[in-house]
Amino acid sequence: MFRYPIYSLYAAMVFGTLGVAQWRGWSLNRVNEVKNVPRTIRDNPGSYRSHYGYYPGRYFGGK
Amino acid sequence: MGSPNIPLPTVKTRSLSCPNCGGTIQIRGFAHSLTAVCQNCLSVLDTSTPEVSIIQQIEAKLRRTPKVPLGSRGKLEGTTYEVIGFQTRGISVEGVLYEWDEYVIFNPYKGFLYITEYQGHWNIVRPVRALPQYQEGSKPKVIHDGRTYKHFQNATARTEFVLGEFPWRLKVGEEIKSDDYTSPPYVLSAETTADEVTWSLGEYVGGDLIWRTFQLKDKPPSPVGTYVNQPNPNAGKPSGAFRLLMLFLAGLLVLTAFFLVTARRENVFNERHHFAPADLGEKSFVTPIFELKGRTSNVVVETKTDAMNNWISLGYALINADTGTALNFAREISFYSDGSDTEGNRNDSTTIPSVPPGRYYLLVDPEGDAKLGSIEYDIIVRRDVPNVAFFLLAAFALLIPPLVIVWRTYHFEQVRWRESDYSSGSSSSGDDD
Repeated sequence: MFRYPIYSLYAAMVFGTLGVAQWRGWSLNRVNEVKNVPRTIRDNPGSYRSHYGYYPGRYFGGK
Repeated sequence: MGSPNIPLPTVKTRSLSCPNCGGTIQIRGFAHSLTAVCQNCLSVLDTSTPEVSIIQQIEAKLRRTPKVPLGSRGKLEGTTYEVIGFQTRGISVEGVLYEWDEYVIFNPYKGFLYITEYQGHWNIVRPVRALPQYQEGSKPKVIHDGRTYKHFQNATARTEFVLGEFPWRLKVGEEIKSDDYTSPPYVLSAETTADEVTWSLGEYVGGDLIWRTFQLKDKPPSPVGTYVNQPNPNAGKPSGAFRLLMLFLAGLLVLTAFFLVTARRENVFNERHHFAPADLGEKSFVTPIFELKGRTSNVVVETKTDAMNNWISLGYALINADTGTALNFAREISFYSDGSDTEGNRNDSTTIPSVPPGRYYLLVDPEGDAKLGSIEYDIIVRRDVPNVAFFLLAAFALLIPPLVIVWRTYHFEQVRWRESDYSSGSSSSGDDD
């Protein structure tokens, strides 16, 4: 291990990243995050859907 | 093995007068020197007899300057040697002349050694007394002192320039057949003339050793390319790196087992729904609120359908009931079968990364083809599910450095053997660990 300090350091980083990824629940998927979605129609007059948003390929939101 | 109490007798050199220019020539190799070259007029002299005769007159334009000056003294392996001779030799390959320098160094009690230099690559060369054992083959080998040397190159070497003294008769233009056999850091060379074969063993050394030994100024020239017996800097590393990889993979297995055992995989929501695209009215709906507990972790949303030659598109939003933050994602699920072949998958799973704990609900917006009928589907939400893809990625990431080391080792040998007689079959370069 001492003969390969860079490889050992690299492996430590891989293990560290893996540990954080598992612990924090990382994923290769990406989701679209929208803040402050109106909770009720009272918060969003003129709309009958509860929030506006977009996800790939489709639009769904207020009318 | 000399006793430190008995002083060695003082050795005096003899001087000659050059028959051509009258210049003084110091003979440091005593009776061993058979050829000497006048440094003033470049006359090559036969010094084997008391009547010094001129063998050859070297043209002034051929003069080269030795990197290690004649007369330089230094200690090698505890013995003081003096540089007494210098020659430049060359081989012509496909019309290109490759030249290297050879130095004769001498100690009155230990005899001669030789130093060679080619483009910053240095070797200390010793004569070999025992005849190496020859092994015939597509790439011949010789065995010397229990070590196997692979044939590298056969060439006719021509003396291009000489200066100083030599323990053999020598002049410019002289040619010998030379065969090099390599086993880094050694090279075994056979030099064949009309009447004899002389074997010598070279050991690769750094230029800094030569510079230190002879106390030369500045720095030695940096090596260019890869030399015949230059030690591979990665020799032995691939096997060590793969051993270390095994250790790391074992560590990865332990880490994987830890996360697989400790992951909660908590089932936080499970609900069945019916979707009929032909029905009128609003299709989207929200689920009851469910709680995601514990630390920030992932959430897996699984959708299991009974789709048969049908499809459903689901727009999802995982909404935090307290903060109003929504995480939007869409899934397309389709499954087709004609009895023999199938296409698609009835079930789907997606992982939402790093979801903080809190109260959540799902907004679901299904879409489908009204002509294809209705679909039953289950929505299952699970918390803290280990992601196997990361373990596979980590294993792959750990594999990269050993692969790089193997490639660098192989590439070094490829470059070395590219200069050999076997360049077209460089795969036979072998491992010179």
